[in-house]
Amino acid sequence: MTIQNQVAEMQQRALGELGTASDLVALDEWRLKYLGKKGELTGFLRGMGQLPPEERPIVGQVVNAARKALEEADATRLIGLQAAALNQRLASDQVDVTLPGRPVETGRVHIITRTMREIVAAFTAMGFQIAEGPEVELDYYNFEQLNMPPGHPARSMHDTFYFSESVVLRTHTSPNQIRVMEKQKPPIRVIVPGKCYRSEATDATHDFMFYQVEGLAVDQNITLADLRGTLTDFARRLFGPERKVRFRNDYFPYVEPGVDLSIDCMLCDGKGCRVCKYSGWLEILGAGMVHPQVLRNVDIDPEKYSGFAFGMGPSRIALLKYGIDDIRQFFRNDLRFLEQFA
Amino acid sequence: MIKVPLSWLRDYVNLTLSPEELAAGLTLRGLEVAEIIRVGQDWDKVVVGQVEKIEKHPNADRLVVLQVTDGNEVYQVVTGAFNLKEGDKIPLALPGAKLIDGHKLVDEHAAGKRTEPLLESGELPYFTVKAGKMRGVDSNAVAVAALELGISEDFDGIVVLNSEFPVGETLAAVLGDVILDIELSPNLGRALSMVGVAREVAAMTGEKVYPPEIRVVEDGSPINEKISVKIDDPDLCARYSMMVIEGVKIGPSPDWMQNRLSAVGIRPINNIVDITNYVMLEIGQPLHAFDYDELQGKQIIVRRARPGEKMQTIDHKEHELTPEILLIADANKPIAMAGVMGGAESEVKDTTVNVALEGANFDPANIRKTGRGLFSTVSEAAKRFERSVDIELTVAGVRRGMQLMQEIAGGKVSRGIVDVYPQIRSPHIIELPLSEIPRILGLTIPRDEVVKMLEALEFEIAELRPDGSFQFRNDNKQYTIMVSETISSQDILMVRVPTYRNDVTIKADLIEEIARQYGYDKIPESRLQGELPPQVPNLAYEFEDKLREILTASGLFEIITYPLVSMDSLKNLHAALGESVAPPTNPGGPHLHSLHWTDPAHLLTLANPLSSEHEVMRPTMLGSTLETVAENRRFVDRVPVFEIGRVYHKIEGELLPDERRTLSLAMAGRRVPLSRFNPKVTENDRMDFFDLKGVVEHLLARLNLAQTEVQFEPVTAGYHPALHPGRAVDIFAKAPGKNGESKRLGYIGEVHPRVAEAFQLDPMERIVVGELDLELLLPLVERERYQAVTRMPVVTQDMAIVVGDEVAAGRVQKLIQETGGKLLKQVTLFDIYRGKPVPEGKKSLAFRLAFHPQDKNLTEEEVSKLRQRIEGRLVREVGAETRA
Repeated sequence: MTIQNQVAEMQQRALGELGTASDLVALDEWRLKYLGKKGELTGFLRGMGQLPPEERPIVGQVVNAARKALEEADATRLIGLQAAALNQRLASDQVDVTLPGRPVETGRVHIITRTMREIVAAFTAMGFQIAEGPEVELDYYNFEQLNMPPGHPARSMHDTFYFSESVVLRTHTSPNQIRVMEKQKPPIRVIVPGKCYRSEATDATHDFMFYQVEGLAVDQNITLADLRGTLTDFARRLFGPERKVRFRNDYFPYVEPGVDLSIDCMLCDGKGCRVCKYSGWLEILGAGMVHPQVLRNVDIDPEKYSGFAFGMGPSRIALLKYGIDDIRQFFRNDLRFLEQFA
Repeated sequence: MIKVPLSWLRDYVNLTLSPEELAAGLTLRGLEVAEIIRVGQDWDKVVVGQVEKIEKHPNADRLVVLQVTDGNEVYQVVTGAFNLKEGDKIPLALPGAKLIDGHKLVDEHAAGKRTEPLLESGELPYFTVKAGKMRGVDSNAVAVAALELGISEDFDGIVVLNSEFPVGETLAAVLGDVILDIELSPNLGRALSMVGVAREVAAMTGEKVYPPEIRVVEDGSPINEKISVKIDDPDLCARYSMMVIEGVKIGPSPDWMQNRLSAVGIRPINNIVDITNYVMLEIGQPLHAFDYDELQGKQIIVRRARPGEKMQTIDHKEHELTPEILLIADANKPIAMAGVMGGAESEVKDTTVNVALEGANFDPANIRKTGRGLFSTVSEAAKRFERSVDIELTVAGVRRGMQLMQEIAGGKVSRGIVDVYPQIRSPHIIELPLSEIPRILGLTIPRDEVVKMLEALEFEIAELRPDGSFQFRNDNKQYTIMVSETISSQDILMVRVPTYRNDVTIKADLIEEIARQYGYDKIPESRLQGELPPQVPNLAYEFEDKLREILTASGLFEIITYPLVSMDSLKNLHAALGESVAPPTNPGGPHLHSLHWTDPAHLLTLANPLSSEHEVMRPTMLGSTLETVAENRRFVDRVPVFEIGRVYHKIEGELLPDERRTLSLAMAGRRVPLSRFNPKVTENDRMDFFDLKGVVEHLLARLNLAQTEVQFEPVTAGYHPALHPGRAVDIFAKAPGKNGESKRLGYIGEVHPRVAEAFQLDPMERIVVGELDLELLLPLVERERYQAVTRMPVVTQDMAIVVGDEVAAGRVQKLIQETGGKLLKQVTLFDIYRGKPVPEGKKSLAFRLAFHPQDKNLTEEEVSKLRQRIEGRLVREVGAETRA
């Protein structure tokens, strides 16, 4: 038998065996047997030295052609077997995909904090700076410098916790208007978030502690129209662009003119419901032009400067925004309540 | 709050708007209409009936049988009321009508289930009228009492209607009304009357106000012979007016007056008292009627009370008086607490014949103090005086009262009036530059329109004379202003304020009036212009937010608790003190030091707490945090929480305390939630000291306290009586350098079982808590700096050593870290082993060391040199043996 025939016979046999290599291990063995360093194909080449020189190139060609054919067959077989192995792995990996996933445990920021952040962010975007002040406050800042001397009727709207005659728990964040203006001169744009306290009985809509965010802008040429524009922008940013905003007269001793800002009730679309007390409107903040006497109290000339101030309650805003029916939920800190708010 | 029946308001102003429009308009102007009450809208099938015949009930002495016609049909009605006579017109409820169940209300009140006033005592019971029999006699309709209609508390008799009402007309048509319930801010004292509200309505609609016309027939003796008045304290009583009427007949006031008073929530008493209330509601001047014959010396003295003086007020309470209280006295004794409440002795009684009527003007602040100091509710008179009453109303009020008394109760009115008015007040005059309108409101209004607006509000505008001076009508005085190049008389309005507008004193007040009149809803919207203030970060505020971010990502929930806590809650923190915890020998620093937590010298306590639950400003957040854990532990099986708040410490010699930002932390319960991945909770699956320590380590690492060394030290014995003595650490921040100062930042530890018990927590459960003083922590935070990350292969090696059980692992770790130097980036303790082959009393610690090459690859030689150095040091300093 010529070498050519022997190669052809071997190629035939090898291809036949390849068909029976049913997994990657068998394939490896097959490769070793025919294509490996000590494999049959290499054997032919090794034996080539004994051939006459003129035959060698011809045999070389035949062997190389056989090698190419076997390698191609090997590659094809490898792809097939790999695919089969993968499919088998995938099949055996199958799980009940309806089972629940692994629980992820992260905490939450308190809903009041989140609401405060939203309010604060709206104003910092307009160039307002964040300030803070003490909760235990002097009567002087909480009332007197805000046009509420002892005996002033507006004090009856502030049920006040006292430590002594001159020291109170602040009933609003407004004393910070004075504290800020004592230190800083116009232009001023500042917001002051913080806890406030009123000595009133607790029920679904009242708590003795609540948060407020105070705002103050003082400069030349600040007008009631600026107040309206700024706070309307704010209300729509927080409650949605479709909200109607009502701007009406109200009274706070430290502003003049005074303002109350309401939005149309989003729970009943202004038709009237329990939450808006059938008025269609929800009051969200009190505001006004800073009273000239308040400016004078901190040595800012009211003939030259004007400004507006506002105050709002994040609890009330959160209550309205999320339809919470009991204000006491906030500081009860039931995790089942807190986890509802991302 | 004032209730304004439109039927009454109509006496003084034409109403051209619907009730809804009126309410919306008033609300925009600052008179907030809280509710529009429609009286009579439920009175379906109730009509005006006329009593034709009254007969005795054949079977019952306490009932009568009426024949009542509605014009078409005659109804037989059995009733228990005996106040009717034939010919009376009454409300007749026909079958199907729904009425308030008066009997049930009265029974429930008797049983203690309701309080008076009954109509405001919660959900009201109703019944439907049906034809039936009462004690054997047919009763086909109901004769109605006021309580059953909801118009007053009266349930003793049937309502007798005005005889002019047409029989058969629906009751709603003749008695129905719309009442506006208006909330008034403290500046709106002027609107605490019908005329006051009418003025606002008129200014809004352009209508005219018609105050009541006052005509008194002065047919008695000269007033000077009857009474004299002296004001000793004019600072508290600016004006006092009085007239006397003789020979009045006390009795109930007429129905129309009773109905009006009832409609606004004032209980009718007798004609004289009702008239004082009526005039107050009508024009706003509180009046007080004295029984003239009780006034000794025929003299009124307005003076401060003398120390030790006593009087009994009409509510039959005895009061000890102080000189801060203003009195009305006669020659001998107090007869009324001025402006707040009358005296029992001089009050108008059934036997009263002669009446002295007071109309006075008292100091608002003093009334407020007296009224709120002595009484739980504020009287209607005090409510008005507190908000300041028009000084010009005293005379009008007294004369109006006299007129009504004469008309209703008869009698002769004294001639003349006593009117003591020591210091005559002239009306405010305000110069208003027109430029203030655009400067403050952001809009321009022409001069004549401004004038019109202010005049609609009854402000007077002075006429500008050719010489540039101003003159008011009925006033010869000429007013001049400072003119300059920039401002001329043309640019100024000289405005005289009506005497009832005590709230208007400066330019800004007039600007508000112009805005109200212009319409708040028409104010334009603009955005802030002009320079921004320097934009500086608020580091503390941003720091708090950073903590929240890290802690929520670590799985903790933010809570917010009340800084007002109870003394008991603070004491509970010491539940273990003296029992299984020795008292500390060294009290240590001021903050977070638990022995101060119950020491009154360091605590701020409210003078007027609502309850003992919330009376002390917390010196620590631990109590509030534990209460939150306990509350939650009842419902959920894992409670990881934190709070960023303040604690409060008195500062010696300062009015205000130190308010320190503090972080409080707590973890309790399951470490991981129940799921198929964690089906069983074992002891190791519950959170303990190391869970919170991990959070705090992570937190402090994230805050980048690069130069500060954080040290966790076992707590000094007794220092933290609330904590488990063997499972707690103090956290110190040590400043750089050998002698760097060490500050105590806070602590973490497991709660002492006794303390857990005191907070209603399971003493067997580990509850781990901590507090960090953020005031100390914040300044330690440094700017983050980039550190090169090696791209060369990292060499990791494990090292196991055996040390005595008493050697703290932290110390070993620190030694390794120190000795390893810069190359040793990470040291991880990954195993602790006791037992064979480790000898008794010793433990094996296994660390993984990660060496990061810096600029060239690490050679094995370098690493083993470092390792040898580490091992050598451990052998020397903690007696370690290395283990293969």
